[in-house]
Amino acid sequence: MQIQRIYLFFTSFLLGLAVQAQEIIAGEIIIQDTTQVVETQTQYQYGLRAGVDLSQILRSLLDDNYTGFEIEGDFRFKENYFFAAELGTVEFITDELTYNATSSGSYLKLGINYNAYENWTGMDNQIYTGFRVGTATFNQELNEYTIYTTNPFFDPDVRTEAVKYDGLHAVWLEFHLGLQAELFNNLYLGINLQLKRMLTQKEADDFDNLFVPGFNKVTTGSSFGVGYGYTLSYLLPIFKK
Amino acid sequence: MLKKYSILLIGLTLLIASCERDDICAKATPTTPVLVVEFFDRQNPANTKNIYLLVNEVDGDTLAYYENVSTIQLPLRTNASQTRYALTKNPEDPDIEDQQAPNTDILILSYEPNQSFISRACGFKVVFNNLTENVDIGSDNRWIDNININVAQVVDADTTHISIFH
Repeated sequence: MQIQRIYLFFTSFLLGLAVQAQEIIAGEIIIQDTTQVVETQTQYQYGLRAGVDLSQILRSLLDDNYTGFEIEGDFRFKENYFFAAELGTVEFITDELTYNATSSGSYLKLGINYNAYENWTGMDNQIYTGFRVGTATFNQELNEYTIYTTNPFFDPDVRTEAVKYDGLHAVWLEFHLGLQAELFNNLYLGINLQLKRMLTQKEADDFDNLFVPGFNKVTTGSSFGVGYGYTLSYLLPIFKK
Repeated sequence: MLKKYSILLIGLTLLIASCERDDICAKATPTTPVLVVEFFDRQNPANTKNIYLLVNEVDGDTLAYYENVSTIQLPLRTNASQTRYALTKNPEDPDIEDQQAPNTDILILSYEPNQSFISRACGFKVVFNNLTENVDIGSDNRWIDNININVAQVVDADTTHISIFH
Protein backbone atom coordinates (compact mmCIF):
# COMPACT_ATOMS: atom_id res chain seq x y z
CA MET A 1 0.00 0.00 0.00
CA GLN A 2 2.73 2.42 0.88
CA ILE A 3 4.78 1.59 -2.27
CA GLN A 4 1.66 2.21 -4.40
CA ARG A 5 1.30 5.64 -2.90
CA ILE A 6 4.96 6.41 -3.51
CA TYR A 7 4.58 5.35 -7.16
CA LEU A 8 1.46 7.51 -7.42
CA PHE A 9 3.31 10.48 -6.01
CA PHE A 10 6.28 10.17 -8.33
CA THR A 11 4.26 9.64 -11.49
CA SER A 12 1.95 12.55 -10.80
CA PHE A 13 4.96 14.73 -9.96
CA LEU A 14 6.74 13.80 -13.17
CA LEU A 15 3.57 14.22 -15.22
CA GLY A 16 3.03 17.59 -13.64
CA LEU A 17 6.55 18.64 -14.56
CA ALA A 18 6.11 17.42 -18.10
CA VAL A 19 2.90 19.36 -18.48
CA GLN A 20 4.51 22.47 -17.05
CA ALA A 21 7.39 22.21 -19.42
CA GLN A 22 5.02 22.09 -22.32
CA GLU A 23 3.16 25.10 -21.04
CA ILE A 24 6.32 27.11 -20.76
CA ILE A 25 7.21 26.27 -24.31
CA ALA A 26 3.76 27.32 -25.41
CA GLY A 27 4.07 30.52 -23.35
CA GLU A 28 7.28 31.51 -25.04
CA ILE A 29 5.68 31.31 -28.41
CA ILE A 30 2.86 33.61 -27.31
CA ILE A 31 5.28 36.17 -25.88
CA GLN A 32 7.20 36.30 -29.12
CA ASP A 33 4.04 37.07 -31.11
CA THR A 34 3.07 40.05 -28.97
CA THR A 35 6.51 41.60 -29.34
CA GLN A 36 6.13 41.60 -33.11
CA VAL A 37 2.71 43.27 -32.93
CA VAL A 38 4.04 46.09 -30.71
CA GLU A 39 6.82 46.85 -33.17
CA THR A 40 4.54 47.53 -36.19
CA GLN A 41 2.29 49.83 -34.11
CA THR A 42 4.94 52.50 -33.58
CA GLN A 43 5.68 53.10 -37.27
CA TYR A 44 4.67 56.48 -38.75
CA GLN A 45 4.48 57.55 -42.34
CA TYR A 46 6.52 60.68 -43.08
CA GLY A 47 5.91 62.69 -46.18
CA LEU A 48 4.43 65.85 -47.64
CA ARG A 49 0.65 66.11 -47.53
CA ALA A 50 -0.94 68.71 -49.77
CA GLY A 51 -4.47 69.48 -50.77
CA VAL A 52 -7.21 72.04 -51.40
CA ASP A 53 -9.91 73.60 -49.29
CA LEU A 54 -13.21 72.36 -50.70
CA SER A 55 -15.29 74.76 -48.60
CA GLN A 56 -13.83 77.77 -50.40
CA ILE A 57 -14.44 76.20 -53.81
CA LEU A 58 -18.01 75.47 -52.81
CA ARG A 59 -18.56 78.95 -51.40
CA SER A 60 -17.16 80.50 -54.57
CA LEU A 61 -19.80 78.65 -56.57
CA LEU A 62 -22.70 79.39 -54.24
CA ASP A 63 -21.90 82.87 -52.96
CA ASP A 64 -21.97 85.64 -55.57
CA ASN A 65 -19.87 87.90 -53.40
CA TYR A 66 -17.12 85.39 -52.65
CA THR A 67 -14.33 83.99 -54.80
CA GLY A 68 -11.55 82.14 -53.05
CA PHE A 69 -9.08 79.33 -53.41
CA GLU A 70 -6.76 77.81 -50.85
CA ILE A 71 -4.10 75.13 -50.90
CA GLU A 72 -3.05 73.64 -47.62
CA GLY A 73 -0.68 71.00 -46.43
CA ASP A 74 1.50 69.69 -43.70
CA PHE A 75 4.70 67.82 -43.03
CA ARG A 76 5.23 65.48 -40.10
CA PHE A 77 8.48 66.27 -38.27
CA LYS A 78 7.90 64.26 -35.12
CA GLU A 79 5.54 61.41 -34.21
CA ASN A 80 2.46 63.54 -33.59
CA TYR A 81 3.65 66.97 -34.68
CA PHE A 82 3.30 68.56 -38.08
CA PHE A 83 4.49 71.76 -39.73
CA ALA A 84 1.36 73.11 -41.41
CA ALA A 85 0.67 75.87 -43.88
CA GLU A 86 -2.17 77.40 -45.88
CA LEU A 87 -1.85 79.64 -48.94
CA GLY A 88 -4.83 81.25 -50.51
CA THR A 89 -6.36 84.14 -52.41
CA VAL A 90 -9.78 85.67 -51.84
CA GLU A 91 -11.94 88.34 -53.42
CA PHE A 92 -14.93 89.39 -51.35
CA ILE A 93 -17.59 92.01 -52.00
CA THR A 94 -19.10 93.70 -48.97
CA ASP A 95 -22.53 94.74 -50.10
CA GLU A 96 -24.18 96.94 -47.48
CA LEU A 97 -27.19 99.24 -47.75
CA THR A 98 -25.11 102.38 -47.87
CA TYR A 99 -21.97 101.19 -49.66
CA ASN A 100 -20.45 98.44 -51.76
CA ALA A 101 -16.75 97.61 -51.61
CA THR A 102 -14.48 94.83 -52.86
CA SER A 103 -11.61 93.43 -50.80
CA SER A 104 -9.12 91.23 -52.64
CA GLY A 105 -5.72 89.83 -51.89
CA SER A 106 -3.81 86.77 -50.77
CA TYR A 107 -2.71 85.25 -47.50
CA LEU A 108 -0.21 82.81 -46.03
CA LYS A 109 -0.56 80.96 -42.74
CA LEU A 110 2.24 78.98 -41.09
CA GLY A 111 2.13 76.96 -37.95
CA ILE A 112 2.22 73.65 -36.15
CA ASN A 113 -0.44 70.97 -35.61
CA TYR A 114 -0.50 68.44 -32.80
CA ASN A 115 -2.40 65.20 -33.23
CA ALA A 116 -4.00 64.13 -29.96
CA TYR A 117 -5.64 60.99 -31.34
CA GLU A 118 -4.05 57.59 -30.79
CA ASN A 119 -4.41 55.63 -33.98
CA TRP A 120 -4.97 51.91 -34.24
CA THR A 121 -2.51 49.90 -36.29
CA GLY A 122 -2.35 50.86 -39.91
CA MET A 123 -4.70 53.84 -39.52
CA ASP A 124 -3.77 57.48 -39.91
CA ASN A 125 -6.59 59.65 -38.61
CA GLN A 126 -6.27 62.81 -36.61
CA ILE A 127 -7.99 64.84 -33.97
CA TYR A 128 -5.70 67.81 -33.79
CA THR A 129 -5.13 71.25 -32.42
CA GLY A 130 -2.79 73.76 -33.91
CA PHE A 131 -1.82 77.36 -34.16
CA ARG A 132 -0.96 79.58 -37.09
CA VAL A 133 0.53 82.95 -37.75
CA GLY A 134 -1.27 84.48 -40.72
CA THR A 135 -0.35 87.41 -42.93
CA ALA A 136 -2.29 88.92 -45.79
CA THR A 137 -1.63 91.60 -48.38
CA PHE A 138 -4.69 93.03 -50.02
CA ASN A 139 -6.39 96.07 -51.40
CA GLN A 140 -9.89 97.43 -51.17
CA GLU A 141 -11.97 99.23 -53.75
CA LEU A 142 -14.97 101.30 -52.80
CA ASN A 143 -17.32 100.80 -55.74
CA GLU A 144 -20.38 102.81 -54.80
CA TYR A 145 -21.67 104.57 -51.71
CA THR A 146 -24.58 106.71 -50.52
CA ILE A 147 -24.09 109.56 -48.10
CA TYR A 148 -25.80 108.61 -44.86
CA THR A 149 -28.30 111.17 -43.62
CA THR A 150 -31.28 110.88 -41.30
CA ASN A 151 -33.10 113.73 -43.06
CA PRO A 152 -35.03 112.46 -46.08
CA PHE A 153 -35.72 115.83 -47.72
CA PHE A 154 -33.24 115.53 -50.58
CA ASP A 155 -32.81 112.60 -52.95
CA PRO A 156 -30.11 110.14 -51.83
CA ASP A 157 -26.63 111.32 -52.75
CA VAL A 158 -25.25 108.24 -54.48
CA ARG A 159 -21.61 108.46 -55.51
CA THR A 160 -20.32 105.96 -58.04
CA GLU A 161 -16.77 107.17 -58.54
CA ALA A 162 -14.63 104.20 -57.44
CA VAL A 163 -12.00 104.83 -54.77
CA LYS A 164 -9.01 102.48 -54.46
CA TYR A 165 -7.13 101.76 -51.27
CA ASP A 166 -3.90 99.89 -52.02
CA GLY A 167 -1.06 98.43 -50.03
CA LEU A 168 -3.03 97.12 -47.08
CA HIS A 169 -1.82 94.28 -44.93
CA ALA A 170 -2.61 92.45 -41.73
CA VAL A 171 -1.02 89.95 -39.33
CA TRP A 172 -2.98 87.69 -37.01
CA LEU A 173 -2.81 84.62 -34.80
CA GLU A 174 -4.98 81.53 -35.29
CA PHE A 175 -6.01 78.57 -33.19
CA HIS A 176 -7.15 75.47 -35.06
CA LEU A 177 -9.24 72.52 -33.95
CA GLY A 178 -9.76 69.83 -36.48
CA LEU A 179 -10.35 66.28 -37.59
CA GLN A 180 -8.76 64.40 -40.40
CA ALA A 181 -9.56 60.93 -41.65
CA GLU A 182 -7.72 58.80 -44.15
CA LEU A 183 -10.33 57.81 -46.72
CA PHE A 184 -8.18 55.29 -48.53
CA ASN A 185 -4.61 54.95 -49.62
CA ASN A 186 -2.98 58.26 -48.61
CA LEU A 187 -6.08 60.35 -49.40
CA TYR A 188 -7.35 62.45 -46.51
CA LEU A 189 -10.48 64.42 -45.75
CA GLY A 190 -10.35 67.00 -42.99
CA ILE A 191 -12.52 69.58 -41.30
CA ASN A 192 -11.31 72.32 -39.01
CA LEU A 193 -12.52 75.25 -36.99
CA GLN A 194 -10.44 78.42 -36.70
CA LEU A 195 -10.42 81.07 -34.04
CA LYS A 196 -8.46 84.15 -35.06
CA ARG A 197 -7.08 87.17 -33.28
CA MET A 198 -5.87 90.18 -35.20
CA LEU A 199 -2.44 91.44 -34.18
CA THR A 200 -1.79 94.35 -36.48
CA GLN A 201 -3.34 95.76 -39.62
CA LYS A 202 -2.65 98.63 -41.93
CA GLU A 203 -5.80 100.53 -42.78
CA ALA A 204 -6.51 103.33 -45.23
CA ASP A 205 -6.76 106.86 -43.82
CA ASP A 206 -10.47 107.24 -44.36
CA PHE A 207 -11.74 103.69 -44.69
CA ASP A 208 -11.80 100.61 -42.47
CA ASN A 209 -10.68 97.13 -43.44
CA LEU A 210 -13.98 95.38 -44.03
CA PHE A 211 -12.63 91.96 -45.00
CA VAL A 212 -9.13 90.56 -44.75
CA PRO A 213 -8.31 87.54 -46.93
CA GLY A 214 -7.58 84.63 -44.61
CA PHE A 215 -9.01 86.40 -41.58
CA ASN A 216 -12.49 86.92 -43.03
CA LYS A 217 -14.85 89.65 -41.90
CA VAL A 218 -13.32 92.24 -39.60
CA THR A 219 -15.81 93.28 -36.92
CA THR A 220 -15.87 96.80 -35.56
CA GLY A 221 -14.52 97.01 -32.04
CA SER A 222 -13.33 93.41 -31.85
CA SER A 223 -10.01 91.88 -32.84
CA PHE A 224 -11.44 88.35 -33.08
CA GLY A 225 -12.59 86.44 -36.10
CA VAL A 226 -13.59 82.91 -37.04
CA GLY A 227 -13.22 80.62 -39.97
CA TYR A 228 -13.45 77.01 -41.01
CA GLY A 229 -11.99 74.67 -43.57
CA TYR A 230 -12.93 71.44 -45.29
CA THR A 231 -9.90 69.93 -46.95
CA LEU A 232 -9.14 67.12 -49.35
CA SER A 233 -5.47 66.19 -49.57
CA TYR A 234 -3.00 63.58 -50.66
CA LEU A 235 0.08 62.34 -48.83
CA LEU A 236 3.26 61.88 -50.83
CA PRO A 237 5.11 59.37 -48.68
CA ILE A 238 8.84 59.87 -48.25
CA PHE A 239 9.89 57.47 -45.54
CA LYS A 240 8.62 55.37 -42.65
CA LYS A 241 10.10 55.73 -39.20
CA MET B 1 -14.82 58.13 -31.13
CA LEU B 2 -13.73 59.84 -34.33
CA LYS B 3 -17.30 59.82 -35.60
CA LYS B 4 -18.65 61.49 -32.46
CA TYR B 5 -15.97 64.19 -32.62
CA SER B 6 -16.65 64.84 -36.29
CA ILE B 7 -20.36 65.34 -35.72
CA LEU B 8 -19.60 67.78 -32.91
CA LEU B 9 -17.03 69.65 -34.97
CA ILE B 10 -19.30 69.92 -38.02
CA GLY B 11 -22.10 71.20 -35.81
CA LEU B 12 -19.87 73.79 -34.17
CA THR B 13 -18.49 74.86 -37.54
CA LEU B 14 -21.93 75.48 -38.99
CA LEU B 15 -22.97 77.38 -35.89
CA ILE B 16 -19.93 79.61 -35.84
CA ALA B 17 -19.91 80.17 -39.58
CA SER B 18 -23.49 81.43 -39.55
CA CYS B 19 -23.18 83.74 -36.56
CA GLU B 20 -22.51 87.33 -37.44
CA ARG B 21 -22.61 90.35 -35.22
CA ASP B 22 -25.38 92.75 -36.14
CA ASP B 23 -23.86 95.98 -37.31
CA ILE B 24 -26.42 98.71 -36.79
CA CYS B 25 -25.80 102.41 -37.16
CA ALA B 26 -26.77 103.71 -33.71
CA LYS B 27 -29.15 106.66 -33.64
CA ALA B 28 -26.77 108.56 -31.41
CA THR B 29 -23.95 108.31 -33.97
CA PRO B 30 -23.26 111.69 -35.55
CA THR B 31 -24.00 111.41 -39.25
CA THR B 32 -24.60 114.11 -41.85
CA PRO B 33 -25.69 117.13 -39.77
CA VAL B 34 -28.59 119.49 -40.42
CA LEU B 35 -28.24 123.26 -40.06
CA VAL B 36 -29.76 124.62 -36.87
CA VAL B 37 -31.27 128.11 -37.09
CA GLU B 38 -32.58 129.98 -34.07
CA PHE B 39 -34.77 133.10 -34.14
CA PHE B 40 -34.25 136.05 -31.78
CA ASP B 41 -36.07 139.27 -31.07
CA ARG B 42 -34.39 142.15 -32.93
CA GLN B 43 -35.38 144.52 -30.17
CA ASN B 44 -34.18 142.26 -27.37
CA PRO B 45 -31.40 140.26 -28.98
CA ALA B 46 -30.86 138.02 -25.99
CA ASN B 47 -34.40 136.64 -26.17
CA THR B 48 -35.70 134.13 -28.65
CA LYS B 49 -38.79 135.07 -30.64
CA ASN B 50 -41.19 132.55 -32.10
CA ILE B 51 -42.07 132.67 -35.76
CA TYR B 52 -44.61 131.26 -38.19
CA LEU B 53 -42.43 130.20 -41.07
CA LEU B 54 -42.99 128.36 -44.33
CA VAL B 55 -39.74 126.95 -45.70
CA ASN B 56 -39.41 126.03 -49.37
CA GLU B 57 -36.31 125.11 -51.22
CA VAL B 58 -35.85 127.52 -54.11
CA ASP B 59 -36.91 125.63 -57.26
CA GLY B 60 -37.65 122.68 -55.06
CA ASP B 61 -40.09 121.15 -52.60
CA THR B 62 -41.63 122.52 -49.45
CA LEU B 63 -39.55 121.54 -46.48
CA ALA B 64 -41.92 122.40 -43.65
CA TYR B 65 -44.35 124.87 -42.14
CA TYR B 66 -43.09 125.80 -38.72
CA GLU B 67 -45.86 127.00 -36.45
CA ASN B 68 -44.76 129.29 -33.65
CA VAL B 69 -41.32 127.89 -32.95
CA SER B 70 -37.96 129.53 -32.34
CA THR B 71 -35.62 126.82 -33.65
CA ILE B 72 -35.70 125.17 -37.06
CA GLN B 73 -33.53 122.63 -38.87
CA LEU B 74 -32.49 123.02 -42.50
CA PRO B 75 -30.85 120.11 -44.35
CA LEU B 76 -27.99 121.10 -46.65
CA ARG B 77 -27.30 119.53 -50.04
CA THR B 78 -24.29 117.21 -49.77
CA ASN B 79 -23.49 117.11 -53.48
CA ALA B 80 -23.46 120.87 -53.98
CA SER B 81 -21.74 123.82 -52.36
CA GLN B 82 -24.89 125.87 -51.99
CA THR B 83 -28.45 125.43 -50.76
CA ARG B 84 -31.12 128.10 -51.11
CA TYR B 85 -34.25 128.31 -49.03
CA ALA B 86 -37.20 130.70 -49.44
CA LEU B 87 -38.26 131.65 -45.89
CA THR B 88 -41.79 133.03 -45.83
CA LYS B 89 -42.69 134.68 -42.56
CA ASN B 90 -46.40 134.66 -41.66
CA PRO B 91 -47.70 132.68 -44.58
CA GLU B 92 -51.46 132.99 -44.91
CA ASP B 93 -52.80 130.86 -42.12
CA PRO B 94 -56.53 131.12 -41.32
CA ASP B 95 -55.91 129.96 -37.75
CA ILE B 96 -53.80 132.97 -36.81
CA GLU B 97 -55.49 136.12 -35.58
CA ASP B 98 -54.28 139.58 -36.58
CA GLN B 99 -51.78 138.16 -39.00
CA GLN B 100 -49.29 140.41 -40.68
CA ALA B 101 -48.74 140.24 -44.42
CA PRO B 102 -46.50 137.38 -45.62
CA ASN B 103 -42.93 138.30 -46.42
CA THR B 104 -40.43 136.08 -48.21
CA ASP B 105 -36.67 136.39 -47.87
CA ILE B 106 -34.34 133.96 -49.61
CA LEU B 107 -31.53 132.55 -47.52
CA ILE B 108 -28.52 131.42 -49.57
CA LEU B 109 -26.13 129.13 -47.72
CA SER B 110 -22.66 128.49 -49.14
CA TYR B 111 -20.22 125.93 -47.73
CA GLU B 112 -17.57 123.34 -48.51
CA PRO B 113 -18.88 119.79 -48.18
CA ASN B 114 -16.34 117.35 -46.72
CA GLN B 115 -16.92 113.62 -46.96
CA SER B 116 -15.68 111.21 -44.31
CA PHE B 117 -16.14 107.57 -43.29
CA ILE B 118 -18.15 107.06 -40.10
CA SER B 119 -17.99 103.32 -39.47
CA ARG B 120 -18.63 99.96 -41.07
CA ALA B 121 -22.24 100.06 -39.95
CA CYS B 122 -23.08 103.61 -40.99
CA GLY B 123 -21.00 104.26 -44.07
CA PHE B 124 -20.15 107.79 -45.15
CA LYS B 125 -21.26 111.22 -44.00
CA VAL B 126 -20.69 114.77 -45.18
CA VAL B 127 -19.90 117.72 -42.91
CA PHE B 128 -20.03 121.34 -44.04
CA ASN B 129 -17.11 123.71 -43.58
CA ASN B 130 -16.72 127.48 -43.98
CA LEU B 131 -20.39 128.29 -43.91
CA THR B 132 -21.35 131.70 -45.29
CA GLU B 133 -24.76 133.21 -45.85
CA ASN B 134 -26.41 135.67 -48.16
CA VAL B 135 -29.93 137.04 -48.06
CA ASP B 136 -31.94 137.93 -51.14
CA ILE B 137 -34.77 140.08 -49.84
CA GLY B 138 -36.80 140.06 -53.04
CA SER B 139 -39.07 142.85 -54.15
CA ASP B 140 -40.53 143.60 -50.71
CA ASN B 141 -38.86 144.68 -47.50
CA ARG B 142 -36.69 142.30 -45.57
CA TRP B 143 -38.11 140.67 -42.45
CA ILE B 144 -34.71 139.30 -41.50
CA ASP B 145 -33.30 142.23 -39.58
CA ASN B 146 -29.92 140.69 -38.87
CA ILE B 147 -28.26 137.33 -39.39
CA ASN B 148 -25.24 135.88 -37.59
CA ILE B 149 -23.19 132.78 -38.18
CA ASN B 150 -22.39 131.35 -34.76
CA VAL B 151 -20.60 128.24 -35.98
CA ALA B 152 -19.03 128.15 -39.46
CA GLN B 153 -18.26 124.43 -39.27
CA VAL B 154 -21.41 122.34 -39.34
CA VAL B 155 -20.43 118.95 -37.91
CA ASP B 156 -23.37 118.14 -35.65
CA ALA B 157 -26.85 119.34 -34.79
CA ASP B 158 -26.06 120.03 -31.15
CA THR B 159 -25.48 123.79 -31.39
CA THR B 160 -27.16 126.69 -33.14
CA HIS B 161 -25.23 127.45 -36.29
CA ILE B 162 -27.14 130.56 -37.43
CA SER B 163 -29.04 133.21 -35.48
CA ILE B 164 -31.69 135.29 -37.24
CA PHE B 165 -33.09 138.46 -35.67
CA HIS B 166 -36.56 139.56 -36.67
